[in-house]
Amino acid sequence: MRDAISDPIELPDPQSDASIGVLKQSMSPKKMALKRFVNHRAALLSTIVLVMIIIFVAAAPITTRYGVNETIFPASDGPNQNLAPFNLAWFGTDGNGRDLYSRIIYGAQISMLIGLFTAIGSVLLGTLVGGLAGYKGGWLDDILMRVTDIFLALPLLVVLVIVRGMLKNVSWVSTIMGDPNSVRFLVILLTIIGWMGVARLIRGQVKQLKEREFVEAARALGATSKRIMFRHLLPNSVGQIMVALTFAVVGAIAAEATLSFFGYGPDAGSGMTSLGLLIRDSKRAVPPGYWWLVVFPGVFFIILSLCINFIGDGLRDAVDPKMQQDLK
Amino acid sequence: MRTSKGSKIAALAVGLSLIVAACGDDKDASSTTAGSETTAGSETTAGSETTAGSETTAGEGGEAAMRITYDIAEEAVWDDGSPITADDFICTYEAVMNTVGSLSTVGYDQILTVAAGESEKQVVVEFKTVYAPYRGLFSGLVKKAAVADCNDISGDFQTEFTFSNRPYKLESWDETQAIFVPNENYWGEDKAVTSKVVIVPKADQETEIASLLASEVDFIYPQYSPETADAVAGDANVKVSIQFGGDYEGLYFQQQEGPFADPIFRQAFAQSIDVDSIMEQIYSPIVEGAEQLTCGPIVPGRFCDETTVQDTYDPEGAAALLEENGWAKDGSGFWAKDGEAPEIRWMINTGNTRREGAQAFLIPLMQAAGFNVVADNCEAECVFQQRLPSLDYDLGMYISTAPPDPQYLTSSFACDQIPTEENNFAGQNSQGWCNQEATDLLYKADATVDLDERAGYIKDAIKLMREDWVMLPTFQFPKSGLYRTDKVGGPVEDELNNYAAFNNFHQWTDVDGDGQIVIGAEQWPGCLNPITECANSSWYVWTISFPLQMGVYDTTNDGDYKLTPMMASEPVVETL
Amino acid sequence: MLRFIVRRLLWAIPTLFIVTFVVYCALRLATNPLASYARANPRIAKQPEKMAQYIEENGLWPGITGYIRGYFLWLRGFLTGNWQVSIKGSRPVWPNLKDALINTLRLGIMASIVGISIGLALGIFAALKPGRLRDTAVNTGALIGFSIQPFISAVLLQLFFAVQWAKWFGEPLLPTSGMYPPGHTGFDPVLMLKYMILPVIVVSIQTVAAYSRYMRASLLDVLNSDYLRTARSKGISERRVLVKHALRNAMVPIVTLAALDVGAIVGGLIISEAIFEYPGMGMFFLTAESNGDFPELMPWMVIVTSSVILFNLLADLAYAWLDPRIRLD
Repeated sequence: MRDAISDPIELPDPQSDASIGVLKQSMSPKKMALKRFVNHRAALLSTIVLVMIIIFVAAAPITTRYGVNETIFPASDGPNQNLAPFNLAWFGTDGNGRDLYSRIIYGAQISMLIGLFTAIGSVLLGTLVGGLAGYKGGWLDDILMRVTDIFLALPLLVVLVIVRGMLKNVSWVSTIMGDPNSVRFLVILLTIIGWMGVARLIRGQVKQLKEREFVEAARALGATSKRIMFRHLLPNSVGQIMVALTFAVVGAIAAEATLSFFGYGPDAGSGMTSLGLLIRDSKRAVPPGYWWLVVFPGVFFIILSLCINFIGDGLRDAVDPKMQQDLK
Repeated sequence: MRTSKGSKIAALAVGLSLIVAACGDDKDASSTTAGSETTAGSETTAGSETTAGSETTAGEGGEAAMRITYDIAEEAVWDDGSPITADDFICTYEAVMNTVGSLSTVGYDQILTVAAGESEKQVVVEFKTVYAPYRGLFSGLVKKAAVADCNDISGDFQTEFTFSNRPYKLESWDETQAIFVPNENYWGEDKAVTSKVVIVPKADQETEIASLLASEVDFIYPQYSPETADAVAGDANVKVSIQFGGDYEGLYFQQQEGPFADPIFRQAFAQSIDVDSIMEQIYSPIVEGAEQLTCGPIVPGRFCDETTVQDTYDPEGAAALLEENGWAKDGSGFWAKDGEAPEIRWMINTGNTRREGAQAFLIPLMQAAGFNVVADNCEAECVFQQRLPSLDYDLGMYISTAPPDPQYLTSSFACDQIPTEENNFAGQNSQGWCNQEATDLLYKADATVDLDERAGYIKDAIKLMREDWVMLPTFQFPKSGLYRTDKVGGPVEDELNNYAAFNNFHQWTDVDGDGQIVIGAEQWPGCLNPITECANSSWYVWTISFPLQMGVYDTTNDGDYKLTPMMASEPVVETL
Repeated sequence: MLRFIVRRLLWAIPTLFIVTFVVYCALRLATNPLASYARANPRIAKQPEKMAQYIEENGLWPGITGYIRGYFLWLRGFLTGNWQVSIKGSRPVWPNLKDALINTLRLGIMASIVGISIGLALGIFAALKPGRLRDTAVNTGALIGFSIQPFISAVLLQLFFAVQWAKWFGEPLLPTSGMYPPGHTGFDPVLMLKYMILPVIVVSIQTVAAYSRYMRASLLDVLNSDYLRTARSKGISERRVLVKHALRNAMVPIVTLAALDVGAIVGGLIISEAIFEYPGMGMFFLTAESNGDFPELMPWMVIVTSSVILFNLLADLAYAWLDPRIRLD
């Protein structure tokens, strides 16, 4: 599967200069970036939609109509399964008589939590490793590049399945990570893979910044490595880190869905759900034509990833304005 | 994905036993997982040997206790025209007993000698004990001339099955299809009707049904669900036939250790399960008029007493029972003793949405009743090959497919069939239930040839099982065959109930005249050896073994045995 | 140039060595071959001497040194053609793996050709009028493509072209699954193509999305470069600029990306194969994984990882060859 983390567009870029704009208009780079982001209409719209989704999902018990595992009415009152949308269940019910509308919100909650935690973990780890490798260079950099070259080039599903198998079979690991079908296990598993894409992005950024005048000047003035890292390189990489974070979120959500689709996801028996599980179940709804079970989770999933992808895209353009600049 | 679902059973091509099934596998994945029917450990040899001490083993020490004389029909031949003889019986026996990796030797290990009788068309088999389930033996013969060494056939039959004594023979087999063509030398009346039958693997039920609707396959044999009915409702040419056979589902209480080792707690838990509401929510939608199975781990018929497991739901009684024995509800509303509320791990195979639904439905009810039940699931392989045999669960839920002979009850519920270190964790009693009285009854039943007397012992044993709360039967699961009436005709529906499933496909007719009948298979064997792990799948038995190997008895649609045309007369059974 | 190639090739050997060792350890941990073997052969599992023999024959010793010894035993067997037989069914692994590989190559090459060429065309189309409607449309379309995971598109395509189509028009337009119709034997390119259409579409959606964006970005980069401005100012026609200079230069990063992208295409293939029941490498992997079949998974991983390393190498070489700015030593 292809996810946005693993293929940031890395083109040979001999003279990307984030400050081109400064010469033309006298605005701070941050303001400029903000302006560029706002000008990216799709990204702006996506942000609005995403914020709405987040509010909706975060306010779960208020916005939902039933519990995640609650039937719309007991089976003794009549059949409650696989009902098409009607006033008691706006998006219809699933094979267990539960309200799909409420389940999508709860499922999105789990998926977005997985996405967020994985992304934060990946970005922390990736920034650390990528930053160090980019700054120090040498063997650390070589190893990072070689290892991630291979890992990122392998099919993600294969890597996930094998690493999952390893973590499952080592007893001391499983005490830390918990049950292979738990959310915690998934987050750690996805972080173990997810940091690599981030590390490469940050490494590239740091390598570029390192050569810039202000860093050289700082070094010439005797600033320590630590100071250069934290005062100069990191703050100037915030944009790239934000981009990486965004794509890490959508990558993790997609990876969760893929794992769930192949039966490696969260445990449905506990009554909880995730977008991946809802999509997995939609496969079963295809032949009998329970369209609502296919359409609503699928469309919601696509809208969610589309929004995050657009935001990432907009952020990237804003942070690295070369492409935008070209358009004018 | 087909992939992970190994439908595994302990059914051998050459002998029948219990199929423990995770069925209905909806494998998304998964199915790797996704998984489907899997065995609960298939080895019962060790157990049978330990019975030597019990009273059932008359004639120990080389003395024969029972003799069966089989007369093979004169005209019975293999597909190359060579006669079927006593040598083939001997070869089958040797292969089962001596092949490295032979799956199960149940029954055959009771045999002292297999020898030719007055002619090469007569076989005399002597048993060291009276073995009542003898009809399950030699149910599929291994042709002696087809293997290099009868004592080890593990290397044979990798990708081809070189003989047949049924109406069809296997022309070719690979990962994508099996092609059957008529056996020209078949001597029986029921010769093959259609010139070609093709069996193709289909990833899962959704793909199966989609292929049927798209006319790519003519017949499928899925586990029935409400979705199935709706899926084919719009197609007038698809006919659904539902029958109730040997499949039954139940809840099992592992009682060797953990919370259910306490009989009081186990009983209270079982009595708190609202079976009626499970029926309403989970089973009734599957098929109209669904009723609870009340026989115990067996389906209605000669050996079933339908009053055995009735009206088990008694929440007040359960609460009173617990309170009398020092249990009290703790702060979180769970029953606790000495300040500890046990956690009950309920295990099913992930990816089976119906079972996941049952969990999601029942767990809140049980929690409300004061029992801390948690879902603790893993993939089918893990459930059926790892955790069930090692008793690593508290509450289990799966489908079993019972063969016509109730001998499987012995291997599933006798004391010496509990997987232990002594029998190398080989028994199939994965509930860990041991009741010596019941065990004796079961062994006595196996050594009783008279069917009514035998049924009496079995019913008594199941009553003891009910008193000890070993399992709670829920539903006799329907078997369903779906077929296109514009593609295939004839007696398609006649054998769906059979342990050997759609085994009469040689009599089906090709309605549309495209020269072939196509059957969709939910699982695909990895290789074709009838003795080893290859055969450890119900789909192997249905798609390879039954269509190619004839033996002494065939199973019938009403759960009994009938003599095959290979035999000249009913075997003569003598107890000595 | 030659020195560069030789040096890179020499580097690939230790890389391959280390990678296969890591894969060996990872797979042994993940599949636990001994337990899988015991599961598949319950009666053998009861005989300690038989299990000990299996350990010796297959090098499944425990501990770090056991893994290292086991790896070398495996490596020797692998290189000399004495592959371990599969756990499930004790069959030789190569015949099945070979079939799966060929089937997947067919599907993969087809999907790559379709996906990459459409993607490139769309990328060029968009880059020629940057900022216009077509550009926005391609860009947005690509992001939508990224957001449609293969398993969603596969299920929907299956529903539409096979099941619903049969309901509406009496006959399905495209088959739901398989590689050939049931009962068919032998090679038939037309039928084969028909069965490949849906799986190829599923893989292509993601490929088109990726390559249209790569190409657009790369071409814009070149079109705005100084030397093309110079070329234009010299009065060379726009068409000539585009064809002779811009496209050629824009392809440089694309070729390297294509070589690095093999894994993503294989990933799409696995999902597509699983849903369309196509007997290729993806099905092989998923089946073997669920059986914990180490002897089947190991050669599979060797093939996949070495092709990844090989294509990485090719990417380097192609880049060096196509872009004269890279110094070769």
